[in-house]
Amino acid sequence: MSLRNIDLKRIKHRYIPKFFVYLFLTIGGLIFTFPFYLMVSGSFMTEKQIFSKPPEYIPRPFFVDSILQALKFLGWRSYLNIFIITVAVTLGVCILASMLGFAFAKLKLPGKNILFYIIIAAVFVPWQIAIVPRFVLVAKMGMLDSFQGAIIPLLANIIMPTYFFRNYFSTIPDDLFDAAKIDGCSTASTFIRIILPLSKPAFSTIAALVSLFTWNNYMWMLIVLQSGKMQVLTTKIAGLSNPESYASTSFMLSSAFLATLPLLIMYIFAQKWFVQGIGTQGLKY
Amino acid sequence: MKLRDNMGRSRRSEYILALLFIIPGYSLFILFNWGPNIMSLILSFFKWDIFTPMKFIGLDNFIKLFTEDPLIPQITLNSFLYFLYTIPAMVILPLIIAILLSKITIMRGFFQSIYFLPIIASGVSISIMFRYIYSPSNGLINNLLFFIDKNINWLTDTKTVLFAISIIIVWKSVPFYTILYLAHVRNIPSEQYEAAKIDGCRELGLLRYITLPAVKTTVTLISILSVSNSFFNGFEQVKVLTEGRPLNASNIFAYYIFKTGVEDINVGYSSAIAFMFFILFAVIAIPIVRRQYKTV
Repeated sequence: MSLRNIDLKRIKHRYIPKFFVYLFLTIGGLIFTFPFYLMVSGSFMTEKQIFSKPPEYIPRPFFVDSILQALKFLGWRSYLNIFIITVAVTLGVCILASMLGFAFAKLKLPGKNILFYIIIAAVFVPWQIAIVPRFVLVAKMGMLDSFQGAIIPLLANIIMPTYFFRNYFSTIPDDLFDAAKIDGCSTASTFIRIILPLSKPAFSTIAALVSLFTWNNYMWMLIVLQSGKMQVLTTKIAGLSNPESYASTSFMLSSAFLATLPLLIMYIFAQKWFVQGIGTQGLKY
Repeated sequence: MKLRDNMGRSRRSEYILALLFIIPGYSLFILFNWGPNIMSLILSFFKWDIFTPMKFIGLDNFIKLFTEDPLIPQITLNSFLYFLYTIPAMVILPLIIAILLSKITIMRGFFQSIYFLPIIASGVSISIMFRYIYSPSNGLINNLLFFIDKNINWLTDTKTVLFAISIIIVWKSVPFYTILYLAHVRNIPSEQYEAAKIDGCRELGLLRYITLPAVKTTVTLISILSVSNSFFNGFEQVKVLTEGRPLNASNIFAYYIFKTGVEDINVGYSSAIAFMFFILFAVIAIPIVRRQYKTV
C-alpha cells in the first residue's frame, strides 16, 4: 500500500512535469524546423503540387527540374565568389584579432588600454549606421565590385573577436612566457609556437562565427558587388524575390535550399563551435 | 648605467613588438569602422550625391527630416511597433526554451540541434522560406488558419505586414538568444540547486529563487543586444520581401537609410537619418545599461 503511494508521488512530481517539458520542446522544435522542411520539400515539388488543394507536404512525384534549374542559375561562380570572400575574411579576422588580443592581453605598451577601449566603444554604434560613408570610401578607393572591396571592410569587424581573444589570452599564465623566455624563445616566437597551438578552441569558435556571418552577409555584398559575375549566393537569391523576376515558388525554394546546403553540412560538423561562439560572445562579431 | 641602457633597449623593443601586433588590425579598424562612423556625422551637414562636389548646408538635412519628410513619422511609428512586436518576444521566449532545454537529459543533443538550426540560414533564404509560408493562396499559415475562412495577404496588407516581418525576425533571433541564455543557465553551480532542494524548494521555487535571479544580468544583456540588433535585423527581410511596401507600411529605419543613401545617393540626408536613428538607439539603450549597473 505504502509502496504504491510513493510510486504515485514519484509519477506526479517527476514524470508528469517531464512529459510536459518534452511536449513543449517538441512543439517548439517543430516551429523551428518545419520551415526548413517546407523549403526542402518545396524544392522537389512541381508548381502544381505546391498550390494543390488540399495542401500536400510530401513531394510526389519527386521533381528535380527546379533544383537543376537553380543549380544552373546560381552557377559555380557565385559559390566560388562567396567561398573566396568567406575564407579570406575568416582568416583575416582570426589573424588580426588574435594579434590585437594578444598585444592587449600580454604585451607592454603605454596607452594600450585606451586603444582597446576605443575598439570596444564601437560596439555601441551599429555597423549599418555608417553603411553609406563606408560605401563612399570603398568607391573612392576604386574597390567597388571587387574582392578587395568585399573583403577588406569586413576585416574591420574585429570588435568582438578582439575582446574574445584578449580575454582568452589573459587566462594563459605569465609563467609560460617566462619559461619560454628562459629557453631562449622571443615573445613573437612564443606567440607563434606556444600560444597559437594552445588556442585552437578559441580560433575554431571565432572562425565558425565569422564564416557563418560572412557567408550569409547580404547588405554589404548588395552594396559593393554590382556586376553579374561578382554576384554571391545571397544577392542572387534576393534578386529572385523581386516581382519582376517571375520566378516560380519551387525554383526560389530550390535556390534558397542550395545556398543553405553548405552551411547545413558545416552545421553537422561544427555545431559545437557555433554554439560556443554565440554563447560566449553574444552575437555581434 | 649599462644595465639601464639595456633595459631601455629591451623595453623599447617590446613596445615596437606591441606596435607591430597592433598596427595592422588597428589601422583597418579605424579606417573602416570609426572613420565611416565619424564621416557619417560630418556628412549629415552636407548635401552630396557623390558625383558633384559636397555642399555645406548646415542643419538643413535635420530640418528636412523633422519638418518636411512625410515618411519620417510613419517610419518612426513602424520602427517602434517593430520593437514592440520583437523585443519582448526575443527576451522572454529564449529564456523559456533555455530553461526547458536545461531540464532534460534524454535527447538533449538532438533537441539542441533542432532549436539552433535557424542560426545557419541567411536572412535572405529565410525570407524566401517565409514568403512561401505567408503565401496567401496556399501558405502554411493560411492553411493552419483555415477555420477563419479568409485568405490573409500577410505581406501585402498594410495592417499585417509589419507583424508578419516581426515574426520572421523573432523566429530567426530566438535560437541565438537561447544559446546565450543556455550558456548562463548552465553556469549556475549545481550546489545552489542542491542546497535549495534540501531547504524544501520545489521546481517552481528553484526557478523563482535561483534560476531567474542568476540570469537577470543576461536578460539585461539580451535586451541591449536585441535593441541594438533590431536596428538592422529587419533590413534583409524588408528589402527581400516588401521593399517598404505596401504604402511604406513595412518601411523601417534600417531600410530607409539604405534607400536614401545607396539607391537615391542622397548621402548627406541618409547620414542625417542614421545619426538621428543612433540618438534614438542611445535613448533606448542607455537607461537599460544604467539600470543594469544600479542593480548589480
